[in-house]
Amino acid sequence: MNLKPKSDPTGPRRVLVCEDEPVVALDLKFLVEGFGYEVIGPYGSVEQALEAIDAVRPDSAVLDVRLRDGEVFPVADKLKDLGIGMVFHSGHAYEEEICANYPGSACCQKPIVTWRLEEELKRLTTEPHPV
Amino acid sequence: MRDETKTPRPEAGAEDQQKLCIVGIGASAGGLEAIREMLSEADPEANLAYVVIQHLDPNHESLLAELLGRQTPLSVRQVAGGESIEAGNVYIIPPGYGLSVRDGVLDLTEFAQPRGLRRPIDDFFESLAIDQGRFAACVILSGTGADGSAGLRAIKEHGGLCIVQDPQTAKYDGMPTSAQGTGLVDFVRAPDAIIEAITQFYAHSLVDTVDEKLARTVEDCLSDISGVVRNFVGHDFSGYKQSTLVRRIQRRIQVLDLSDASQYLQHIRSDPEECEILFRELLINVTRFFRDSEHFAALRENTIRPLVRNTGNEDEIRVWVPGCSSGEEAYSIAMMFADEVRLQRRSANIQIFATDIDEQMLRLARDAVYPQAALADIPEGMRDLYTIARDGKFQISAKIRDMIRFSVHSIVRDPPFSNIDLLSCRNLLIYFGDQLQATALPIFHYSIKPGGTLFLGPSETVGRYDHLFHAADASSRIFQRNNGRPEYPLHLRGRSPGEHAPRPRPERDQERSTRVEWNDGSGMQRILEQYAPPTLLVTSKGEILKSTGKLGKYLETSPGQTERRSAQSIARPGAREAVSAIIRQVSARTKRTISRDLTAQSEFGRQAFDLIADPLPDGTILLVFRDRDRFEATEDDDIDELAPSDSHVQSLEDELRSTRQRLHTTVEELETANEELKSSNEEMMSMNEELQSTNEELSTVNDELKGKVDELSVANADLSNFFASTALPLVVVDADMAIRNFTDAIQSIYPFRGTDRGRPLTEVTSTLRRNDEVLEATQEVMSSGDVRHMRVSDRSEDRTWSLVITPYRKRDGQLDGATLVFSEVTSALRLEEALRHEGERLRLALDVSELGVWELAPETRTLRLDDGADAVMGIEGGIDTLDDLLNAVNEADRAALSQALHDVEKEDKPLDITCTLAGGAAGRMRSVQIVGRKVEGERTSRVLGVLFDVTEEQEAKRVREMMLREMNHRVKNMFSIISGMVRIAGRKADNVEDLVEGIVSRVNALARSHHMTQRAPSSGQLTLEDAIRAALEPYEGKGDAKIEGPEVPAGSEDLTALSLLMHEWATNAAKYGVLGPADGRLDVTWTQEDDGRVKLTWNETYAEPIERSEGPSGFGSTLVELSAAQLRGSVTVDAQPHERRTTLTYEPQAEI
Repeated sequence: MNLKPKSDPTGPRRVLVCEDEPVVALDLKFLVEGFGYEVIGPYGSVEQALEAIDAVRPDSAVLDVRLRDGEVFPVADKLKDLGIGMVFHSGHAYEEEICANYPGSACCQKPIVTWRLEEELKRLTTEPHPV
Repeated sequence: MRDETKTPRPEAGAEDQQKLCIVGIGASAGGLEAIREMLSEADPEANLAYVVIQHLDPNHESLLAELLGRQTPLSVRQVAGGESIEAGNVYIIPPGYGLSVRDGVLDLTEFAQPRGLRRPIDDFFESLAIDQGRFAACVILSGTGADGSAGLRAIKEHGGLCIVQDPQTAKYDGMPTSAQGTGLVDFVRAPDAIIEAITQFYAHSLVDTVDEKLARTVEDCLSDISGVVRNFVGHDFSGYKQSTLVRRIQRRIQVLDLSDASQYLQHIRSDPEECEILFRELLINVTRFFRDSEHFAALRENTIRPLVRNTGNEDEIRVWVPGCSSGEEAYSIAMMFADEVRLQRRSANIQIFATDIDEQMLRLARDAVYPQAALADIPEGMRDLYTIARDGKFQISAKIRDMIRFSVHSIVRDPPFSNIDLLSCRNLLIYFGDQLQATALPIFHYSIKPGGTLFLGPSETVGRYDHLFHAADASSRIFQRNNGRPEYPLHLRGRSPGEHAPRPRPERDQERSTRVEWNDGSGMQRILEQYAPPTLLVTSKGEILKSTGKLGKYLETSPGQTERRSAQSIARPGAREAVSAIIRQVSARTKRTISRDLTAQSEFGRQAFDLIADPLPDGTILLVFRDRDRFEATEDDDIDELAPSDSHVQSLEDELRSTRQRLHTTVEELETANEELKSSNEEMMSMNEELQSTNEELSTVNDELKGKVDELSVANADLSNFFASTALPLVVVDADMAIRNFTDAIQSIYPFRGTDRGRPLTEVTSTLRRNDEVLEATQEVMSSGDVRHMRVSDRSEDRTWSLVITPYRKRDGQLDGATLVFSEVTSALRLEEALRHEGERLRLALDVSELGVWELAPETRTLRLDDGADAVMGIEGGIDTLDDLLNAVNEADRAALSQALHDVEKEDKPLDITCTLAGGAAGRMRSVQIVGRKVEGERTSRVLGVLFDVTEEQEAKRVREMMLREMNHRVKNMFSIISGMVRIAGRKADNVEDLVEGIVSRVNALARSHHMTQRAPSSGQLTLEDAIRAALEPYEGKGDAKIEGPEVPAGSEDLTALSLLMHEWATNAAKYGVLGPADGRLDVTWTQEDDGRVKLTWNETYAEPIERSEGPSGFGSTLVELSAAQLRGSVTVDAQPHERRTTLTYEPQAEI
């Protein structure tokens, strides 16, 4: 029995935002909302994010790599399992490695380039993703 | 035929038939040099072997073999006995032994004679002659005395070759001259030409076929050659044994190096001297005193003793020795007779006729002088009695010589002697052919009177004439004449008509002849006895030698009496004076003299006569009494008439007689004295003899020693050159520490002068600092015999030597001093010192820098680490091989290290690699940097390098990288925050001023927060209070503020959120509350619940109630909410007119 909430094809697309820095998180929230998406979060910890996914299935996600309680990969893995595309948003230098592990995902270096984030989210939410 | 024989080696295979020829070499004083010269020419390939017989001192080890061995290509050895003689070898007699050969094997023999009478050369030559026959050669070299001459005879008799060193080239010519005196020597050569002569001689004999052919040609020409000899010498050899003749003629052909007998025939015809030589050669036979002594003993027992015993005092014993050669046999018999007469105390009249056909031999016999060596053959008892020593030789005493008459006489040609009691004919018949033997024996039968004795040689018999003789002692060849009627041998081999007269005797022989041939025939005898005038043969002194005719009228005794009387004393009155006078005159003038009209008075009557004295060339005088008238018988009255005159004469005669008597006594006394002198002289001579032989031995030893000394002086020269040239300081001391020798280089240590040799080393000053220790050590070495090594330096310690003291040992191993060898090590020491300092500095550097040194030998893959390297590696049991090293590093680094080592070894790439060591606990991994370079050695190359611990550097590097990453992250984060903040602020701002104000104040808050993290006390932890105070810092003095609560740590994650939150609250309070326009008090308090949650209250209490406009939630409140969410907490606001209480409840971050 699939307990995961089904995405509503009619309503605005939902984007999960994970970011532990309050100002950045707020900025992301406003940006993503500004692109026309519904924001889930932002969450500063992996724990919170995982809970949130269980509650509502996002259509896409913007993930900071390092969260307060560790790196974001458990969340990313879960999203990958669910076939949800994601944008990694990080200050680290090893996005390429991360992207290679998560095919179809995108990387956006901090500080954020807004138009790029918008395009990636648009691509992720419209293109079909392998489950 | 001529061509055939001329070819020296006709067939190739014939060489196999070569027979080994053994050359005996006899030498004494001065012989070493001659032997050396002779043998240096020898060819080792020739089929010749040499045996050297040298007179040696029996008490002295001989060096002869050693000395000769270096001079000749032949192999030289001293005989030990039992050696089989082989070609190309030289065998040397050992000292103290004689040598003989039998069947080609050498044998040592003990000497039977005392020193001085030994004849090793003769002994060996004789055995060699018997053993090897004509394949024996003898060589006589320098030496005194006459050893070898008898042996040479034996060699010659058996057909061997005799060579003598030319006396002029010999150091001592005694032996060569004596050998030459035998007349039997084939060659006289200088030493270096001797071998050539031997080789030439044996070129004929070596090949049997050639030999046989030559023998055949000789047989063919034999009769011609005999004819030539007979014509010239007058002796016919045709009846002699053909084999002997052939052999001896063949020898001559070989000696002359002619190709065949016809050539020889030509030669002998043209050369009378050769005829003479051949004649002598044919007559060679060996004779010695008492040859076959046991036969002689038997003869004495059997014949001589009875003859002497049975003879009357006036009887004559007649002995004939035909073929007497050099007289030894005749003298032997004479001595036995004399000895027997002496022992039996009888006086017997013994007449020995010794005859031979060889004048030369007879001359030797008459001289009766023989080499000293022959003395040994004479039985000891007779030696002293019958011989007189004469300068290295000896002579038979006159008493014996007088018993013998030597004369030329041929058994087969000349009429025989008669009435012989003993006929000794030894080793003559063996040379005769059957026909000659058949002639000789009847002649002997005729000569010997019935019952008389015939004494033959050991291999001769009477054969088929046993009816004439019967054996008295067959083994000793003593035969007795049978009583048959003697047949006068009418068939004497006279001269054929038309032949030449017998060769004239050489003049020198005539003067030696002491005897007239009375026995030429009975007719002559008759004439002499009956018809010739009475004749006397007297010596110049008047002694009657022989008489014939009727002498009764003239002499007082009967003729025939052989006792020597002087003619003067027995002449009858009337003749006596004339005889005395005429003898005196004739002996003075040697002219025929006649004394006329003499009258001899006898008891029967008187006789008138002339006396003729005829001096003969030999010094004797013939006195012929020629009767002038009839014999007048004496009348009685004559006696009276004559009396007066007689009495005068009588008294004169009496006086004369007494004078004579006295003279006689005096003479006898003189003779006695003379005898004594003689015997002393003899003793002296024999002593001299011994001294001479000792001298010979000594000079041999001297020669050997001279050779040794020559070698020693070369060695000595080498040594002194070495001493002079070597740069090694060296000194040799003897057992008393006296300086024996030193090198010039020693001057730097001991300033020796040449005169210091022999001075004790202790007395010589030295530049050495501790000379006494050196002397002590030297003493120790001399007593213990152990080598000592020590280091010595001079007083100023500028120079240092390594000193080796070795014991000096004599040849027998006994300690006799010590050798001190100094080798200078000053520069080596300096170098060593410098090296040590260098090493110390290096070690210090290595220790301080904690560097370890390692060295790899690529071939053996062995690794050497010093202590520092071991400490760095920290491997239990150390690292010895390359594999140990590879195992010591972490697995991940192994391949890289192995490759790097390979590169440095093969490609000469410098090595520089950092490895982690295996086995360290996690987090305690240690790193080592290994640096190395290839070093090319002379033979092998090595890899040399250092290694050091780089763990800390590696750790620091890691931390730095981590920090950099973190910093990078934070900066980027900060940029994001600021850009986010700008964007958010932009959204809510009404005007640019507010926007800028909002952004700047928040950036400042962030900066403060950051500043705080940087300022964080190193020991402690930032707390909640810190964050609050930091936020309130810009408003210091703006109002009362109480900040109170328990200590709650604030993690870095929480800090930004807390700072932003407090900033918003403080800004708000400053804008609208107690920190700004309103009076009042601010209390910031917090509590921590049991579950860890913190409840923070921001309480503003106003002095007067105010209305605070709470605008719609702006950017500030959003930020507060967001921050609270970040802190996993919530914010509640309770706004009253008098107070405003804002409460934050959050969960502080547990970890940092």
